[in-house]
Amino acid sequence: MAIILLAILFTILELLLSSLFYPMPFRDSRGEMRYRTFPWMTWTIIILNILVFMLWLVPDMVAARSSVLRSKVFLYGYREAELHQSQSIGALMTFTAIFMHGSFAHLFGNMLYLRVFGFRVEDACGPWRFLAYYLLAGMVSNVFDVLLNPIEAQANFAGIGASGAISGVMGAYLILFYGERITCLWGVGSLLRFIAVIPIRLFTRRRPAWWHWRLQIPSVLLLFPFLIMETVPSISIIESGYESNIGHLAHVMGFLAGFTIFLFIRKDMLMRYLQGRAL
Amino acid sequence: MEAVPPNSLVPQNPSDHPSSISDTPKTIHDPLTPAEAQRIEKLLNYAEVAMHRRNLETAVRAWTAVLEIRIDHPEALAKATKALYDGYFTEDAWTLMLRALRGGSTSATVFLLGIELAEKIGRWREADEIRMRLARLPDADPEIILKAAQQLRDSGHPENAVKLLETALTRHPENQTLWRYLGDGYRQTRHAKLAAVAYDRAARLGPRTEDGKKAEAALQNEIPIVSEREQRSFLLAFREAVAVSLLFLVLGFQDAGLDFSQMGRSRWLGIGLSLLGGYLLVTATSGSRQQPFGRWFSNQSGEGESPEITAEARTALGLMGGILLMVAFRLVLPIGLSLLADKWGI
Repeated sequence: MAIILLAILFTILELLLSSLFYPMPFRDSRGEMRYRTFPWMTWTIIILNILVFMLWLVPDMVAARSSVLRSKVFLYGYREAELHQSQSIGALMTFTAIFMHGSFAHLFGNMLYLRVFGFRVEDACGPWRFLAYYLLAGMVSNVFDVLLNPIEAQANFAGIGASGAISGVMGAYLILFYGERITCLWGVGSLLRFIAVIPIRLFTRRRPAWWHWRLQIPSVLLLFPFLIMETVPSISIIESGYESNIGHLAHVMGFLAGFTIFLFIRKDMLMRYLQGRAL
Repeated sequence: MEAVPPNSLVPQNPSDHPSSISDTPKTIHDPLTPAEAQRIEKLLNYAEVAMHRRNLETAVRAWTAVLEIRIDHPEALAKATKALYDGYFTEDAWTLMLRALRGGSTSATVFLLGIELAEKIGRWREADEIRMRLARLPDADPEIILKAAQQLRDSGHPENAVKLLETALTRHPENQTLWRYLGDGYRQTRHAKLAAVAYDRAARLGPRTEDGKKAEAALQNEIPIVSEREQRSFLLAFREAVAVSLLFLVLGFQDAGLDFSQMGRSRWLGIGLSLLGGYLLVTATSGSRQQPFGRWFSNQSGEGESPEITAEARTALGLMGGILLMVAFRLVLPIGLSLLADKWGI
């Protein structure tokens, strides 16, 4: 138990540390969100991911049963070979893979992004359509991740994690709520803001606060750079196969699945969007 | 001695007034020296006593002296203009007001006083000008702007209220109440689309506040988002069915080993069934007025009524859709399901 708590603590510290350099979103909009209903499907997915990790994978990690862990990942993670050879649970592993995570940081990072962006997208779709969209984005990211990867059959590789599906949610968010602001923790951004505040306070009558830990960043400025940063390594993956254990290509393909969101959002939301009205 | 014409109580060349301390009068944003503050207090008290003794002339001189120090002192200006107006010295009251406004006042209270006075003495054009200046004030309290807009609306000038709110919103784009009032204004002036945009902005800024709820209610009740034609649209309902079948298509593609040529007839049949099942389910859950089912399964026969599928028919359609989707799932995933059955020993 102590090891698990320590791992959680280190993960939180790691996330906070990374937020010094890269904006870490922690809340959609300014806190006054236009949710019509409680986003229970997003919470269900989050809880399910946590349960799968804590109850099914963590015991093997703690007991250092790496072979058991490896076999679980290879059986239920997404592998092209098993689709071709009809092994494991076949195409159903597309669902199991998106509920598995490899580490606390992997899980926490993904769930944080799902919480921030999922609430609003669920609100626009309704819970069941949101679930369908989430699964579709996850499947699309899995499928194209192996189809576009030139390394045949990925013999020693199994894709796990909800990041493809969550990238889909982020893509949908960018399309639907491009003007919305996301509250982020960002050390470098706070520093830049501080530098910008100095002349404002010195030469104008305005008195903005010197320092803000939390910054409001437009979703387009947060998510579009994410897409670019994931696209660059994805190109090299398409050219020469995987070189890292991060599914950049899956992220990009999941993100692009965001264009299908128009099939899933509610009728009134679609009409609002087409009429140029805020969602 | 001051040059005061017999029909006026206000010195016409105020800078020559002996009570003037500073050469250039200050506005409400300029800090006062302790001597000035003390003098203003004394003059205000003096004016009060004078008014108590019904000595209007002395009181006005005292207030004018205050306004010589601070050109837009709200209390002095309010009392002086009121006393002058009540005493039928309307031009004097207006002169004091103009001095404050032209002297660079940025006090919203002064602007409101100006609007009130201008309307009282029939200077409607000037009142509108002051309103627009008020709306452009960077520090103006939106409450005051709202009050001005309400005055305009109540006096039968909704177009001017809209103009005022539009101007104010360039300064206060985050003010929910202003957006809601602008929505009301647009609605009154029969600009439904613009009203929808304004209400939408208001609702978006905070759905749980009183203004947010009112804006949302206005959107729902008075400006329908989905028109009758869209409610009845087959394509909009079919769109959701396509989403369902897309899910089945990707599943079937994976089950066929990521090869479309290996999909086989049964998987394609499953995808077709998922489209039909999805359509029935969507019709049952979210498209109760869409055609042609709305016409086929409706109890209504009168003209002009929008046919809606009965609750019983919707339940039946939903059940049929659910069953079709289960069959489709079985058809698109033959390998995956048999592998799962083997694994579980079913």
